[in-house]
Amino acid sequence: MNIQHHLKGRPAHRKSRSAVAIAVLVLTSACGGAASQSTSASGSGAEQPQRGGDLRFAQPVDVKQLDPVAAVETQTIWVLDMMYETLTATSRDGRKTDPWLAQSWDTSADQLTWTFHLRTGVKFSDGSPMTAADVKFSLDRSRNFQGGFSFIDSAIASVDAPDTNTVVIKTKYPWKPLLADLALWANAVYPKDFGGKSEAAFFKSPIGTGPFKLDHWTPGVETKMVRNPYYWQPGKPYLDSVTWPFVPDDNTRNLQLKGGQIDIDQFAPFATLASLKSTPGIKVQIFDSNVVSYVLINERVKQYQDVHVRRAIAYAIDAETMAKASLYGYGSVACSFVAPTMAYYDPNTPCLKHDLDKAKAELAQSAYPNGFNTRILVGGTDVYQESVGEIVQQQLKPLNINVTLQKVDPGQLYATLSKYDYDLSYEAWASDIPDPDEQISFMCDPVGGGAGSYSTDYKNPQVVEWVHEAEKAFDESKRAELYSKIQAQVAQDAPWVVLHFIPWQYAFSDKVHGFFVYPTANYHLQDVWLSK
Amino acid sequence: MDRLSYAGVRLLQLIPILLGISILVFLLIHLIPGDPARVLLGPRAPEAVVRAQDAKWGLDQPLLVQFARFLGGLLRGDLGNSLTYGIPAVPLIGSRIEATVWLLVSAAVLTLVISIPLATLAATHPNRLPDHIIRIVPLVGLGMPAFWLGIMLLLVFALGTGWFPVGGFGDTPLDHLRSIILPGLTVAFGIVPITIRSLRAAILEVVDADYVVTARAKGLPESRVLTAHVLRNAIIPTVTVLGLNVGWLVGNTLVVEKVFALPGVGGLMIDSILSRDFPVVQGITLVFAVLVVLVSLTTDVVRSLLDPRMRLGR
Repeated sequence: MNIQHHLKGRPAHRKSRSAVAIAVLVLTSACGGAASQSTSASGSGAEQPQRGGDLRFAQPVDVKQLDPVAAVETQTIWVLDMMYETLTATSRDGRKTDPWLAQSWDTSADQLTWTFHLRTGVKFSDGSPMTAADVKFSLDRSRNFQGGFSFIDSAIASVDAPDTNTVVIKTKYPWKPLLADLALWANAVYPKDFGGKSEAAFFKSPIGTGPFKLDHWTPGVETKMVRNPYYWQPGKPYLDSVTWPFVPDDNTRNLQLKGGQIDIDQFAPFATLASLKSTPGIKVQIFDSNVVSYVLINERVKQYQDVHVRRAIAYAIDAETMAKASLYGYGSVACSFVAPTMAYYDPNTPCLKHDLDKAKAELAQSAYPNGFNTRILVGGTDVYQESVGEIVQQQLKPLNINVTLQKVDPGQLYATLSKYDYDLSYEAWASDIPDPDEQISFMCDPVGGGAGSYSTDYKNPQVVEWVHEAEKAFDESKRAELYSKIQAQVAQDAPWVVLHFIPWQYAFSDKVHGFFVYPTANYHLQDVWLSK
Repeated sequence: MDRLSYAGVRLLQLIPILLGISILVFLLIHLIPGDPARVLLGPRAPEAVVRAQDAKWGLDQPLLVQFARFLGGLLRGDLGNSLTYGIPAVPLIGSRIEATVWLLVSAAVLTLVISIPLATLAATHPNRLPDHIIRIVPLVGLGMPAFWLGIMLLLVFALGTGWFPVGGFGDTPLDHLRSIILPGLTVAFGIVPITIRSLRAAILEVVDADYVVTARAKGLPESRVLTAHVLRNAIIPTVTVLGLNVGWLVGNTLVVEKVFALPGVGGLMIDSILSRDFPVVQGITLVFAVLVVLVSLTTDVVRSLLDPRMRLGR
């Protein structure tokens, strides 16, 4: 997902990241696949979960709607995740999928037919059983939807329900990311034909198989869900209900947490974490994410068609200094454009580390050795993005590249980007599925990815070929090799400057136990309980 | 003109005002760059899908056609669906008006509750210590930004004492009352310095008037002189000042609503502008216009109640 809105919601990423978290990221990289240790669930595992209570989970962004296929905004998605479920789910380390509504699956020899065996005894929150027909209806609606995330299902040729417990998905070509794609919220399951209601009526009071069912949604105020008594995980959820109040002001959420009016403060600004940590009764936790931030380079601008110019900019930007100044050290400097928490991340990616001499040498080799004027696109209402823009401005000065800030409000940001009406642009990306294909095809395949390589127009035919090969490769080592090659080549082509890996930060009451945020940013509140 | 027909005329005048505002807002919001479909669908959606969404909303039509549709809908009380929330804009805005009205009323009441005793105290002790303090200290209120003042009030009176909730609006009228006092105070602090000065000056003017001397001479107790004769006359210009300020505040409740997590129209307005949610922006502008006219009308009616000599509509 693009998380422009999400980062905007927290003028935050600014203070020093703890040494432990950095050490863990390094460790994760070194292990090349081990789950991060910094993000163990909160609360002591030895304690017996207690039942009951209303968890008050304050969000800086409002829930915008209740239809999973149309939802694109992060805070809406994470809330809907508690009501609807998918066939597969992202694993705790963010690198693979776990069985969820589907208990197991088989793949045909030609890898074109996937047969999913559904978990038995799963019911919707009205008590009616979930069947393969519901899955077929939901997946067909999701993949035929105009907009949203329907692109993720583009490899699916057909979905069939031969019996109540079996779903058969045929793909147009061998498609390895399918299991991860099915973990996307847009592929969630709801009753066939909306349970006999019209679509509009259904989504006023929708039902799913998730641990909670909707109590009410009041735009601008709160969303509340209560326990689904038919939930398939025995004994769960522990909580009676969850309320997500919309509290846009960071300071107000902070005070509400201190005053016990809320239990969880989503994205407490980094600058406030130290003081929150020292407040009795409050815990602060940093969860590894798969968020990577970039300065995108628009290759439709003539100077940026020259690879030497792009490489010069990549060498000139000092992400380390930027992390200290604008993230207060909470982000770690990135090398690969793929996050360390993502499958097939290659810690040995040869990237263009900050080196002003090399930057000058690259620019000297380009067609613009004397520099030029350019712009950087930033959200004009976002202090964090503006500070990034200003730092880039300073850091490109030695190359005689004069940068002006191109400030637009959020209503214009995407439109400006997708019309290529920019030169450089700050952006941050978070993957929604535990497979790098969503991100890599979006960023490297200008046609197949559907968005002109993140609106940079980056096109390296060799990379595009590897992207497609990796999508079809079922052999793990083959895929790993292809993704390593892609990461290395992209680093050399410098279609963007890779800046930072940025974690998710949460502050919550010490009465909250079992709270864990996945690298894909969602959470499983069925595992959470409140101590009295 | 009696008060009822005066109110009737003023309300009728709303029609051309609202029409003018609708045209202006419609043009402004459509002229600024930005693309609601792109905001809704995200940067990943192919251009064709974005254009299809535009067509679904009718945004691909000529501006004139769109405006005619908007006006037609307006006459039927239908502003269309919010582009962001996908639900009808009228009930969406309607659900947000309550908190804003509570905020404005509490701000007006608290302003009077603070200003009247302080201004009276100052005016009855002119150029002495209480007068100096009362004239100078509230000025600090003018210099304090609302977001800071709001947070400070929350810190001290909500978190510190537990008397008030830390933001939010609650569910029952009693909850609303508890929730609205601190935000009301935050707004009032910005108006109080002005109303105190105006009221103090008016009291000083009235306090030596012949009818006050007469009231005293006929042996009325000082408290009665003050309330029935001095304040009754002195408060009239202050009501005008308060009305003007509250009217101006209608469009400026955003910061206070955000700090106190109040579900008012101010917050919805800003979100809607940023996401280019045209129907909601248009609707809220109309609501603001109606509120401003209503506040001004209420001010006039209250003034005429306080001063029967005043002729409405002249």
